[in-house]
Amino acid sequence: MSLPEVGTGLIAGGTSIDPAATGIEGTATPGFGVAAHKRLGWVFWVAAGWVVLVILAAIFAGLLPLQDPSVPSALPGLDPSGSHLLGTDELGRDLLSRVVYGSRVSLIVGFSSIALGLAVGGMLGLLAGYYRGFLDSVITGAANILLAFPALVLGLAIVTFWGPSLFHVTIAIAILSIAPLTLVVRGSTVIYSEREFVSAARMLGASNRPIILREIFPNVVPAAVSLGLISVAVAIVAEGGLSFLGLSVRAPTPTWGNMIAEGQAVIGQHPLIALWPGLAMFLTVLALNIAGDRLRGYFDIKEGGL
Amino acid sequence: MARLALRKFLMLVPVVLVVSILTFLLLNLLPGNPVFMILGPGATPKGVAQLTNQLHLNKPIYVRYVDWLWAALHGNFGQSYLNHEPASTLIHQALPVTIELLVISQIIALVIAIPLGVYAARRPGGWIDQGSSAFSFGMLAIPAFLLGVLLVGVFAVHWHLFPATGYTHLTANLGRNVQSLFLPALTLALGSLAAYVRLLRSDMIATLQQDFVTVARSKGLSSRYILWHHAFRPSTFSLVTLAGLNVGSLIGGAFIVEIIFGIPGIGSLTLHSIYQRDYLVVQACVLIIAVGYVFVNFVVDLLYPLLDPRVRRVVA
Amino acid sequence: MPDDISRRKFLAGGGAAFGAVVLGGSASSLLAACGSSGSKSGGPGPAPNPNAGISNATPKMGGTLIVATEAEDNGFNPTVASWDVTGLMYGAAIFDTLTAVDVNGKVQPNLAQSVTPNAGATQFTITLRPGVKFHDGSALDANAVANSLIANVKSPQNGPALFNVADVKPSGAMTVTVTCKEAWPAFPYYLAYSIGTVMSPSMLAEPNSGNLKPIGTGPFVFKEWVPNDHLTVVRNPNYWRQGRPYLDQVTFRPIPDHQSRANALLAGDIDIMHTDDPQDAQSLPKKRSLVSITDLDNNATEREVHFYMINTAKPPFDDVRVRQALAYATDQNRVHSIIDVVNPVVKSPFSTKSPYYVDVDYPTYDPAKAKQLIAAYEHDKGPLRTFTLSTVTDAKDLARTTLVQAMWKEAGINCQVQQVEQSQYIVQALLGNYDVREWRQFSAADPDENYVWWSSLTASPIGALALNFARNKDPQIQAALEKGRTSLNQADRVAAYQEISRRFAADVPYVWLDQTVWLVSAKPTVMNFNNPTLPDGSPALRMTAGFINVGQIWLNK
Repeated sequence: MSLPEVGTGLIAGGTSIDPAATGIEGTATPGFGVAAHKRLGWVFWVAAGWVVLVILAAIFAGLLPLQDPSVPSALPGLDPSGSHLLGTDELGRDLLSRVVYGSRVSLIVGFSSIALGLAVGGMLGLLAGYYRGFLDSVITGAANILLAFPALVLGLAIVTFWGPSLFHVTIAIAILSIAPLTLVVRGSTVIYSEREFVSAARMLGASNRPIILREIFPNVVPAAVSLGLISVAVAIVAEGGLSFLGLSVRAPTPTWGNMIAEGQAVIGQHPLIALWPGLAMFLTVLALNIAGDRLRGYFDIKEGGL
Repeated sequence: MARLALRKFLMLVPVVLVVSILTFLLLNLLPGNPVFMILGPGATPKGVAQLTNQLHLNKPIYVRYVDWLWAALHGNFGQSYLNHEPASTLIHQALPVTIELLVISQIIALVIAIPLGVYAARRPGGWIDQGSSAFSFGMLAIPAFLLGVLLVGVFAVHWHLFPATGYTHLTANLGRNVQSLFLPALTLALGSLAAYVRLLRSDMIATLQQDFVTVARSKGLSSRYILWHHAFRPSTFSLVTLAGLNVGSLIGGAFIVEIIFGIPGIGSLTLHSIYQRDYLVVQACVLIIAVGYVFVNFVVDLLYPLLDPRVRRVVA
Repeated sequence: MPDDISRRKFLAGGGAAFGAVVLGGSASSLLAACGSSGSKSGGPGPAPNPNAGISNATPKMGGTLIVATEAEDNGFNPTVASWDVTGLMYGAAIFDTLTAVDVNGKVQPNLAQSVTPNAGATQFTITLRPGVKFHDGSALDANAVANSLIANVKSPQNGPALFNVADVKPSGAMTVTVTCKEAWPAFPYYLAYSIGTVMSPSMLAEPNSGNLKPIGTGPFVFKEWVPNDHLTVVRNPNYWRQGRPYLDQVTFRPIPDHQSRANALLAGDIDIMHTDDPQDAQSLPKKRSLVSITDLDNNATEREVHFYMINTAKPPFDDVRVRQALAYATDQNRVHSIIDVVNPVVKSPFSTKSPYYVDVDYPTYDPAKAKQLIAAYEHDKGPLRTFTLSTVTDAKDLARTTLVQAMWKEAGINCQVQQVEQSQYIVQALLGNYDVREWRQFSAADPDENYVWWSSLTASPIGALALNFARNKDPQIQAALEKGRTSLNQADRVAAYQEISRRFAADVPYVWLDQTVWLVSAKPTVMNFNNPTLPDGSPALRMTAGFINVGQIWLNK
């Protein structure tokens, strides 16, 4: 069970549904031979570049020569032209500026919700994976309960209860992401805990905390980061889904999700209104997926050559 | 092993129980209640009081939960407040639809993933490998709502190959039934695709490195024969298991596709019921979804050692 | 038509929000659209065919009709499950109503042979047709009808509209007498809709009052219902209107998303459907593969009005200057040309063709005037706060409300748009927990049906339930409503409702936009969907508010 919108096991269920996602598989990533010689590849850099571009545009949107995204500035449904590079939407607002400003909400929600989810889920996963025993059972049990809960009900309830706003949507998605992230980090931690260097550290007399912090944590981080990037992609799509239900940031603030929702009401006559934010979301999500996957392959040192 | 299995099975019960408590709490904390949904704009104070009493909504929340639990343990899941259909009937109508949708979607995903995975494994790093990886990622990146739009526009409206919306029952007409489920199943399948290609690819690569493959090659058998007749079968175990598991765990996840394509499955039943604050129906739906997911997890936990390719290779 | 259908406007909006499937555009046309022209407020298109949906040829028997509706309703007993237009269509298939409205908007007997008022219109005698049987074989008699009516009077759903009924009693084997507390000449109109739907006693005796097991006298018999999937009804071989129905079977399928619905028709999955989406109402009549009609030219009854409702009990909206400013700041014509393309703009609840129409001095678009009024208000009471403008979770409603928000901003009035989900939307109106909200209501065959929405008696304070959602307590309107309800003289009634229009224009509890136009589109093989007749053969009310009467349709296959 995953965040709303994405029916794949890639994020949710971590160890239980997609063994591949945990990095336990023993292969090299595509693009290279089965050799220890790993590079990120040009595809990674293009993808990362796009993400950075989108982030910069979102941050500096105010400085760019863009029209006001909330105010109709021309006739509705215009095609791309000199003054409106992507055309206008169904109320006459400039589409380019709406797509750029819309990226803000998508990115803020995407990154902050997953950052929060990783912070909480990562910590819980580390603790569960390292200490095992009762703590592990409790944390894993709680994570399973959260995962068994249909994401739809949970997300809807949270946002309906508190009201739609950037903050609440972020919290809702963060909460939904905790369980899968916990399980994945836990899986990784379990593997590392059994490695020789951890037993060596213990024999040398190190207590638990420094072991976690110095031995395990740095090894788990790269996998967590790459998983995080992929999760951000899912979170962006999830925010789009909530926008669709009118449960995200209020109009007239643009988000990619609510732009797609508005555009689909008129897709027969003006398909571009939904297409531009759809394309922006698609490219960004794709870029995040690729970057995350490449990073994961790059850091996948344990199985190299098996 | 059996003791472990039993213990894990018993763990299911508290999980499902806690999920049901959480759902009940959440639903009742939501603003709004079914009384106004039923009465509409004609609600008067007398009518509201009358109906609230009738539906027992004036009792405290813990009393209502216990009432519900007791009835549920006796197989009575209550009725819809709005149309008075028993919740079990509604689920009985909706669940098979979703399961059929998921089964078809996983079959489609496998049909697409298998050739991609096999040929990607044959030449790791080759253009099929890179292409299929890119394609799978691409499919992951398109939100279901956008994908559904494109599919319907091309295949349903333009070429009239499939219905734009709606569902024909299995018993009514098998052909139309599959037709009506094809596009939504395809939309769902594309999301699972990436995982399958990746899994099959890694399994195949591992199998291809084994001795018996080397022997077969030295016997002069063609690559294609080796690929499909020797390497493929042992590599499919985890794939098929994963597909089966996805059917169980995606029961609650197909709702957007169900809504877009008008499939009366359990996802759309849940969503409609939440919007109408039809508490008892939502409770029953969430219970089913949770049980499905938890049960699947239980099976996975048992089978996991068999799923991990490293373990299997060691055994082999 | 009464408020039976108005409620679902929002709920349909909520339902359509997350279903979103493309209309008519293939992938290649999506790309080709890059080269198409801009704003499609396009020309008039082909002239409407006045004979569309009307056929005087001899009907052919047989066939199955698939009807797509805009929402699912909650059952078949209107005292338990309130009916919107979908419910009314279900009702017209399975039941008969005691009266029906004719082509000129006048009420006539239908299942009843006659409905006769006494001299003061305080008592009505309903005489039934002999020889009519319910689907289970039991006979239609006075007891059955009295039971049915009493169920309505007692129900939380329909009771409020019937508060004027003192007593319902069988006064003979085939006559029922209804006694009212005060004169009520419009009462027979109420018997033309859900209140006048005659349910058999055996149905009412079932659990949940037979909500899932309807037994009526209508042209079709209930066969099977899977909520949110389909309803199937089959021909009633013993229907009392000889020769009818023509179809063997009708299947209703709810498709909440208007694009999916139009798609389904274009793809041939369904035979006939209705919609109130203005863009569909504009584009579907242009398709040569379909036969389409709208109710734009049918002025026999009053269409549903689309407006922004103001909570007059909540400051700053208790000051008439603020309300008037909102009206002056609204450019109705801009909303019309950008979004509501076919819906006629109105300045009162009555269209220009209505017998109750009067030209009123309603504020026309004048942002300067709006600013003046706000300045005067602020001089007295301080700065105008930023308020909340509510709408439902439907893309088109959101677009409309956002446009209005932008217009008001030009006049210096600031508000925040809030989308509310359907289960909350009506509650907020009932309890007065809102500032200004988008709303649709006031469709009626007779303006008396709007009594409860406009009356001071139903305007409770904020926090208590009120049917007068705007909480507008206007003694002049109340007096006019009383006159409209009880006058036996039509001229007096017209004067009364004209007075109400003037009061609305002066006091502005509602910022008017336009009236909703419905479209019904069908395959060319679907005959006679706009030619209903009364039992005596005279023409009945033509298609209004999306109502499709399947009892009169035949298939030309």
